Amino acid sequence: MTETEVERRLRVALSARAATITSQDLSPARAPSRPAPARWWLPLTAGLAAAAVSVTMFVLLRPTDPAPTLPATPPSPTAPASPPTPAPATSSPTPPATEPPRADTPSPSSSAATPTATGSIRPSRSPSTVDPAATGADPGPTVDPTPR
Amino acid sequence: MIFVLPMPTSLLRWWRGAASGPAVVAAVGAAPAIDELYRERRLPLVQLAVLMVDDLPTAEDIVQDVFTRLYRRHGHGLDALGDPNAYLVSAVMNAARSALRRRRIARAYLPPRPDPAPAAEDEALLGAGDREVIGALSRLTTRQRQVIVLRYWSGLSEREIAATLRITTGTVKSTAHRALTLLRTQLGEK
Repeated sequence: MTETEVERRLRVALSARAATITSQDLSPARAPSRPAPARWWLPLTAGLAAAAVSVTMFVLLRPTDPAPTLPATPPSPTAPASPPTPAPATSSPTPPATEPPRADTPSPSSSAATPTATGSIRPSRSPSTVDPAATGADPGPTVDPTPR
Repeated sequence: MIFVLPMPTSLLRWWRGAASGPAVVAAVGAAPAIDELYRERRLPLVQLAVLMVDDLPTAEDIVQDVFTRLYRRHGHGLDALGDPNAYLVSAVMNAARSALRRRRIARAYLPPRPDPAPAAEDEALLGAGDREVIGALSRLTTRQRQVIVLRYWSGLSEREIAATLRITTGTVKSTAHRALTLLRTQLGEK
């Protein structure tokens, strides 16, 4: 079977066209590699690990609870304070625990007329507090009975 | 308190691969068979695709896609393929046919453009007679062009062409006969 002129020209033209493409004309390309596997488990694993670390840190580092205390009592209405017993104005002087000063050595305390002995307990009376007993003892103005 | 998390097998595999070093990873990740096939067959396949689509970038994309699909489908096990070369030629032909179909559809919806001027190197390497033949070849149908290229450039027999294109031998003969008749008419040969 003889080759016709068209077939010969076809072979020559196709070979010439293919020869215009050389390896230098090809763009550098790497051999295809396996695509990266689906890593759907990465965020899931990261979330589980973060949760485990959080729980562990909470368990290890949580603050210790203080001892249970009774709840604070609500403020109750205050009862009137017991009136301090007024110091006796004239009480028998108790013998001083210390040696009384001698007469030849005058002391400023000797001139004081208060016979309170040192060491006696007197209720402190602050000027700001009002002594209810004192106020109660103070007689108010009396009204004379009207004759019938 | 100790937490035991279930570790996915892929994570274990990745861990083992990362711990083994790059040499093992390269040995496992690369398929020497397809690498070798790629080095040997890339240029002839690009040339085959250029004869079909007349466009070097498109031809390179076709061949790269074919190799990528081959690797995704078969991976390392190219042994499953009886003849990898025949598979590649068939895949390139099918991809070129798809590219020509897409190009034809795009041309139907786009305004006509002037034919691109041939490259200077093509002008220098191809004679006027060769350019005339290539021009006449581009006016054939895709199937006729496939048969002509496989027969007169790849040197395949009619049976091999039929197996590659998945058509019958009779179709190959009739298609080749019609294509040669058209070429004779276009080239003015009696």
